[in-house]
Amino acid sequence: MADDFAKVIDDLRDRGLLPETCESVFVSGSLVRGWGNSTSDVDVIVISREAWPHRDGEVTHVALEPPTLQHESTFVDGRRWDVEYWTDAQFDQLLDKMSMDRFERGEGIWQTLSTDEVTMLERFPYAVASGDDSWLERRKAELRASAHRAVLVTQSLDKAGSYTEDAGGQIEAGDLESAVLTAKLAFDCAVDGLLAGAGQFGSRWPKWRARRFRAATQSVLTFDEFWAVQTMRTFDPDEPVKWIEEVILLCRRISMEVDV
Amino acid sequence: MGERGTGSEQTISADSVPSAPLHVRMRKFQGKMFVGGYEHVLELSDTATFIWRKVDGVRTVGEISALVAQEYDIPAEVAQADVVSLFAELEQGEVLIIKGSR
Repeated sequence: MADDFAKVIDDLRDRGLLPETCESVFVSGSLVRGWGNSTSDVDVIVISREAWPHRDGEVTHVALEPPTLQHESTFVDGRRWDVEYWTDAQFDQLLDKMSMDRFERGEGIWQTLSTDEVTMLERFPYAVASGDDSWLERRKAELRASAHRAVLVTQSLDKAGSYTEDAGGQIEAGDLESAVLTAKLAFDCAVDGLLAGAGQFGSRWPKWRARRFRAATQSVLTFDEFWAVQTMRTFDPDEPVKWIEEVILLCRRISMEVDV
Repeated sequence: MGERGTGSEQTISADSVPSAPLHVRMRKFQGKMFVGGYEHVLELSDTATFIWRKVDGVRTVGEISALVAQEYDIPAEVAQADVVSLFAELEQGEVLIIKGSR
């Protein structure tokens, strides 16, 4: 698979999209995981010492310094590439938020994670370098030694807990349709927490949840239990509360079994 | 979620049904179980965790106690006393609701 992406760095250079101070280029996303198809984009991340100057591409905001990420897009052999630019210093700051010491002390700095930061954390473990892989492998090791997994598990389980509480309030208020939808959200988040606990990160991509489930090694929930809820197999429109309660029980099982 | 119990061990009977309110969060952290409500976070011992796992809003105190007695090979009345004591504490910590009877 690494061979498929070996030329990415050259293609970026040829298109004037490679910074002079580049430290690393790597690819992540569905194509790297083998789940992609003909419509899948190539997700490329470039790390450099100096920030990539903003051109015409999109700019997104992060809770880091500098507070923005630059994005470029291009087409190579008929496939769209989405290129995201980070500085090495920004990645340092992201890693600092994942400090195990800080997590164990209950410092909630990880709660400031922006969407793009969570995206980076979730796809980083699967990234494949184009060219020199020393930066990527060093950073992967640093991330493994951090509270990275614990943070991603906690984020998902916290969301599941909030949705569970919401569902209870909606049931009490007689808003059963909303309670059904909220219970579904609670389950999605609980499963994301379960899968993160098994090292299968990706809450930002719910479309791949079944794939991640099958890739995960865990014994808390069977695929059939998971799929039964996702497809609402046992849902009876005349008894929605029964289904909601079943789903919440599963969410609670997950919360009790996943070791943060 | 049903009527609340009064919180004392004397009012929890074998027919009482415990359940965890939906706002209660539970987490396993480095092998230890924590349950938390709006104001209290409690760390459960291994035995308390075993008992907590049996709470599903359907099982009675008696049924849970029987499971505890079987698991730990202790007399039924000792198991029930331990379960009632734990549930009284959890109810006081506002992480458990006890319904009178099924």
